[in-house]
Amino acid sequence: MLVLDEVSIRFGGVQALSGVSFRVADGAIHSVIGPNGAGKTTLFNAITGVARLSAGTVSLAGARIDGQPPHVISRQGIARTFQNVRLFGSISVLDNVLVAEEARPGSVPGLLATLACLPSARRAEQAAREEAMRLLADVGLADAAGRAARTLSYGDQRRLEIARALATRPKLLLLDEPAAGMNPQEMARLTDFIAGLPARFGVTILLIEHQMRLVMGISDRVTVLEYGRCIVDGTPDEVRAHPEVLRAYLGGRTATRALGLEAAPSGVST
Amino acid sequence: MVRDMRGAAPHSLVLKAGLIGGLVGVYVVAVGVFAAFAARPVVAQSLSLGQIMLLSIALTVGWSAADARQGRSGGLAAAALAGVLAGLVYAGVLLMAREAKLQAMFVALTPAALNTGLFGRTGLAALVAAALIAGLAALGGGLVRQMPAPARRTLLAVAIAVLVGALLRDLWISFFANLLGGRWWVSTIYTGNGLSWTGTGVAVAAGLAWQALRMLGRREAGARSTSLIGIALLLAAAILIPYFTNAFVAQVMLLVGLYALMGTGLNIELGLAGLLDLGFVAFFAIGAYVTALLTADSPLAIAHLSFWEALPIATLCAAAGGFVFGLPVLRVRGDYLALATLGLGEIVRLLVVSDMSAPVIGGAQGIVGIPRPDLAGTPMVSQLSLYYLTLVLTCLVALAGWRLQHSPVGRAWAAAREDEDVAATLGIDLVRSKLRAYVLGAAFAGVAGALFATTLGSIFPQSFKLDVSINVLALLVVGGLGSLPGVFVGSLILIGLPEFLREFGEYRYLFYGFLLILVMRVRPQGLWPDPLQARTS
Repeated sequence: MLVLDEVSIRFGGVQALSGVSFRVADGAIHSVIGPNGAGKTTLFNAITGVARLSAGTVSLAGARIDGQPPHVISRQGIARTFQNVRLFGSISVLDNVLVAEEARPGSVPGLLATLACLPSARRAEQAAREEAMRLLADVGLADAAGRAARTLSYGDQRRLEIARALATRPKLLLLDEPAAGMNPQEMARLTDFIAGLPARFGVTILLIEHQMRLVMGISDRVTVLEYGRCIVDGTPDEVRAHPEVLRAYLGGRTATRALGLEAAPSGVST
Repeated sequence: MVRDMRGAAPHSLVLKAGLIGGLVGVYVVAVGVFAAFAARPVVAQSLSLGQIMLLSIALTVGWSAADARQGRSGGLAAAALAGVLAGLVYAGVLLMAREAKLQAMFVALTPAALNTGLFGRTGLAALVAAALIAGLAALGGGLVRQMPAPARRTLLAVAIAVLVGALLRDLWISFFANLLGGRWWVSTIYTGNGLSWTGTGVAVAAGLAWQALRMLGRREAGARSTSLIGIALLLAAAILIPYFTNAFVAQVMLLVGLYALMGTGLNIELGLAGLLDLGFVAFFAIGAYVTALLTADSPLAIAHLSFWEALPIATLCAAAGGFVFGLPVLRVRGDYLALATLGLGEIVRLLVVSDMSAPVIGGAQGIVGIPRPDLAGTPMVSQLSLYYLTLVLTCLVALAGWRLQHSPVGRAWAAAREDEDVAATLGIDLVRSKLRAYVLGAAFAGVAGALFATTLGSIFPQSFKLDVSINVLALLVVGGLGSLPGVFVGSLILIGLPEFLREFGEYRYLFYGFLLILVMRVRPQGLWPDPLQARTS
């Protein structure tokens, strides 16, 4: 699905990413972990075209996408959420999803058809609205459709952001720390929700997350970044056992256990 | 004993409110506003606008003193005390001014004005009277502060109704005379320049009825149908009032309509797409000049089309102008966009007055002899018919604006306005989306420009200055950014009201400024905000 080849990004004197390569398989849930400042969000910015690559290539389903503006990349099937939720706060919950639904090329007719109130325009809008309502129902926000997005609770805002990203009908969904700030129950629900996405929506998922339980529980593959380099890329089990990870990312055995990377002794919860 | 900051020094707060209130009163008298307004009776020859002004200052003093006590005991005492203090300061300073004969410095401090300002008393009697009146008014202010909100709103509605009844006297008189027949109504409701007691009663009843209707509407129906009823009322007033009054009213309403038309255009740019455009007048100018060149009976004209043929061409030219200027300018964000468009507006204005363009568009001499539009062969000459033309075009443009706001196009604007980067990652082409808003806004301004040219019959470069852009911006903010009915209310109040209050001369801009500050302070979301914005802000 997604192939990164020797991707490097430099901001002035700071080398944010250097020579990162990995591939994300079709329909997989692929996680990126690493300490703060390792370049995870920069990686997302590189993929979505927000940050320009200094070197390397990014390709989606065989076609190169690096160097294209964000909206063009989005239209080729990449959607994302943000580390700090970024909704359109003053418009309604439904409109937040609808905007994404209608941004797909060809989903609604153009300006003149809209102005002339052509029946085709009306029908397309109605269809988009129904689709958006279905998505809202899927994430459990149908009742809040008419409220301004900024009035939602934090957990609901996170779910709305995912619904908005899904509304662009992406092939690849990038989730940037979706569990940040959630309590254990909310996190458990979110884990199930994310795990079900590939089957329900046919998307491939690239996930940044600090909550190791979530990562290790649902990922098919994990990439570890440190100082802008890819140090390990493998299955959760391989990553768990990899000495580089233990050394670089986790420090010592105590931290390893605390983060739940090692199978914890029974009865001990993290 | 622990006391919070507000409770710690109630004396200083009372002192401050009283002092400031007293000095504001002195200021109002010293600059002559009081003298001018005292000549204008509001209620039955016994309460003048000047007195109302002083009373409302004392009322505000009491309000803020009671406000500082925030529901704890002693609010009313604090209010009354602050009022007494304000009265003493006011009368004390004015008495001193009378002794010192300050008229050389303050032209408005005539003996007559001082006499009215001091209630016709001297010495101790003036001090006592001022302290007593101000104290009572401030006590009233304190009471109002402690009232439950519905009672407060009702009082406000009554006060506004009385003021509207008294100050827009000419409008009402011509309305009554034409609609209800005869002068009988007029002489019952008005005495001299102000309302009679009967008239005051009618105004109070109207205020109460209005408030009752609003509360009923709020309880019975959802926000949506209330706003529909409101729009229907607004439209009915827009159609009927100029018809039943006189040509002056129609002329003022014509101006209001023109600004509402421009407001609808700028609302698309600023209210919906979030583009702060200070060069909006440029497209108004393009619309006006293109219409003039295509229709005028003047040597400069390049064709002799009718208004109806010129209107679409002028609109398209303004839209094309928007496209050409928009392409480079729209890559700039936020405040920088405002500056870039400001530059654009100035460029167009300078081009219009320059000698270089004089042979083509007349330079400072402008273009004269622009014909009125024809309707079924007869030219529309009366102000009323031109007003209705404006109203129809304004409504059409407003409909288009409404349709756009609630369409995919409008939603994409809202998304880009809220967060450009996120909108782009959702697949919205920012440049294309902004360009659409800019071009449509320009086209609407072009329609307004074409109407402006044909209704005035001649155009001059002075009509296309920066103030036009600023006025349109101000009426949007006062009405409520992003709200279509807000555009009309804002235009009526900021463009119409100063015209209807012409009798107050330069002081009417005092109303204007005061209103702007008041709206921004009390209703920052605007007088008639977009429902979703209103519920959440």
